[in-house]
Amino acid sequence: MGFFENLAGGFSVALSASNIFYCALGALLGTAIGVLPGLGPPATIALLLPVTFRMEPVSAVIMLAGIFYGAMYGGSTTSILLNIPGEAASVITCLDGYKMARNGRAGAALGMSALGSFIAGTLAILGVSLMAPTLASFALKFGPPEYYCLVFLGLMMAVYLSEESVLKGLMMGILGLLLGTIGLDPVDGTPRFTLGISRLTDGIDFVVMVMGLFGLAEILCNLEASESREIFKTALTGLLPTRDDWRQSWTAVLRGSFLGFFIGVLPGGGAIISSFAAYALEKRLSKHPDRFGKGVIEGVAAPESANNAASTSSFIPLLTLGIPGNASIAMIFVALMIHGIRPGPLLLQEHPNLFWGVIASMYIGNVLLLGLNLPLIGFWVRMLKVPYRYLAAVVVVVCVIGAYSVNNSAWDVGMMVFFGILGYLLRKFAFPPSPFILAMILGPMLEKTLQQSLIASGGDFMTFLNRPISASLLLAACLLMLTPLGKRIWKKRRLPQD
Amino acid sequence: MRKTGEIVVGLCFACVGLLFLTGAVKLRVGVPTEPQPGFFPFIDGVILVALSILFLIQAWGGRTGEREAFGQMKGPALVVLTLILYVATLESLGYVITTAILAAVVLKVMKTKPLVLVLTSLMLAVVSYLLFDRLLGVTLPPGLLAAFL
Repeated sequence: MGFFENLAGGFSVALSASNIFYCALGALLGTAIGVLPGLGPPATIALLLPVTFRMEPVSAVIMLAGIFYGAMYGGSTTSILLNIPGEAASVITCLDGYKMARNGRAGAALGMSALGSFIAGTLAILGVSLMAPTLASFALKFGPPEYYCLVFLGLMMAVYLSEESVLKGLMMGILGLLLGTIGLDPVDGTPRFTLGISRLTDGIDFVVMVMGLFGLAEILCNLEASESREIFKTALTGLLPTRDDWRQSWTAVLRGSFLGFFIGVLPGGGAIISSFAAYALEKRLSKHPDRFGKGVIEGVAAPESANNAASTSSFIPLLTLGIPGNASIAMIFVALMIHGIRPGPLLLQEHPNLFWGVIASMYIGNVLLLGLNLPLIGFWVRMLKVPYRYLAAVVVVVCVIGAYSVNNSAWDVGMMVFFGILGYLLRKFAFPPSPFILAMILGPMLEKTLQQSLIASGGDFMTFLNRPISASLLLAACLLMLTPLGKRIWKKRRLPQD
Repeated sequence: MRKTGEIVVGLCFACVGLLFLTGAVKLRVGVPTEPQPGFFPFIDGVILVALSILFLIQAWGGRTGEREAFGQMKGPALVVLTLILYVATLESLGYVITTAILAAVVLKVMKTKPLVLVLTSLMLAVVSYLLFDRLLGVTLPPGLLAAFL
């Protein structure tokens, strides 16, 4: 079957009434949590996972994916109007977006970020639909040693690209691998580290863990100081950017889209880093770098395009290799597993409807988001006027219900509280949570492929170096670890001087 | 203070590594040709202990990088304590009562006026119960109020 037939098949799945509804619901929810500080995409997806248990797998993934990329649209709104990023990928948008709002150009900034996001999202989906099948068929040739090295490289990238120090990232990664071994041994089914507690036989529940680490921990951090937020009062007129704005920023949108797309494909890459990188790139290429940070429209267009492209392209490693690259995608990985679908190179052959249906739904979702966002900006702004204390109380209650609903037991609420406290403390000491989650989810795969490779090769560790693909993957991982110096230089350049 | 905190964190990581390490030995480690259930956790445990030692050395020299300062700890501590009690009493007292108390504590920490606090937390508990238990089919424990709900 050709590319267009596949995509047409996908659209026939995605355009069913119920799937359009779930797509719109996900996109809308995503925008809402993107706008509101306090509950990011991973925690929201985790909270909604139990709701999707009874849904069709395609519909479930369509809705959860909508939450993820919808949040990228919403995150910029608070950055521009309040100087508070709704979620981490929009931090950099504050610099020029908020300045634009102060200069009376809030409308243009919001409009450009929505349109830039739309263009980037659409380009990225096109990239996904073209690249994913090729990569999946390539990955079919992988044996256990290749897979081991691939997962290893993925984890190393997650460590390397996490904002904090490489050492802290490594510690979190290994901690995740260790906690991932709790439960039954993936090879022979021996219970490990369960401390005789029967609840631990199935391992630690990811959904509950993510609710704690990302949901509750965030609230605990915000409880330290009751912040006061002031909405920038401005007449929101002229949401459409002018012709001048377009002339200034169309190259920024395109560059942001491409850069974001390629960073998003990397495990651990994702939306946050891509937005910083796109901003830095624009600043360096600009004829007037000194005006960055004072309210130039490219400073909004580039990062907002990049984070959307990255959030879309981060589906590539999930759908083709079965490797989630960030915490939100990891939650979608868990959703697929709950529905008995194993993400990986075989997904395209075994579940073509799901694969193409989800991709087609992203095209639809982007159109919906553009249509929903520009008219709804006034509504989101009004929602932000609700004092944070109510939001905090609601989030805590929703986290509790979410954790309870996984197995109808207070045990899971307890686990959620445990991970909430852990997440709070780790955040205080600047330990990054992403390598931890990815390692915990990928740990069983890493262990299984390691054992299989070793048994097949008669215990010879050289098997990883004797095969060309695994050797190059391993080499890449080693190079990555040997260049913390490079990272320091990169970080210095990447952080824009205000 | 700053240095002490980092050292405690480093020691915690090292302890976790050691616990898994000893657990892995009990599960039997095996050899590369015949890996046993303890094989993978053993390797990870060794690496974690090594990394923790490296971290401790850095912490001792004060080179562990930036971290957020602890702000007003009273608020989060109070909420954490309430949450622990919440987990312990959820099934006996029931969802509505415990949740109302939990929401009230969160609102109290965020400096809400008493009347608003009482009304909001009661409403939040009852509305969320009706929404999730009655409409969305999540079974929440009725507890003491079983007769009324």
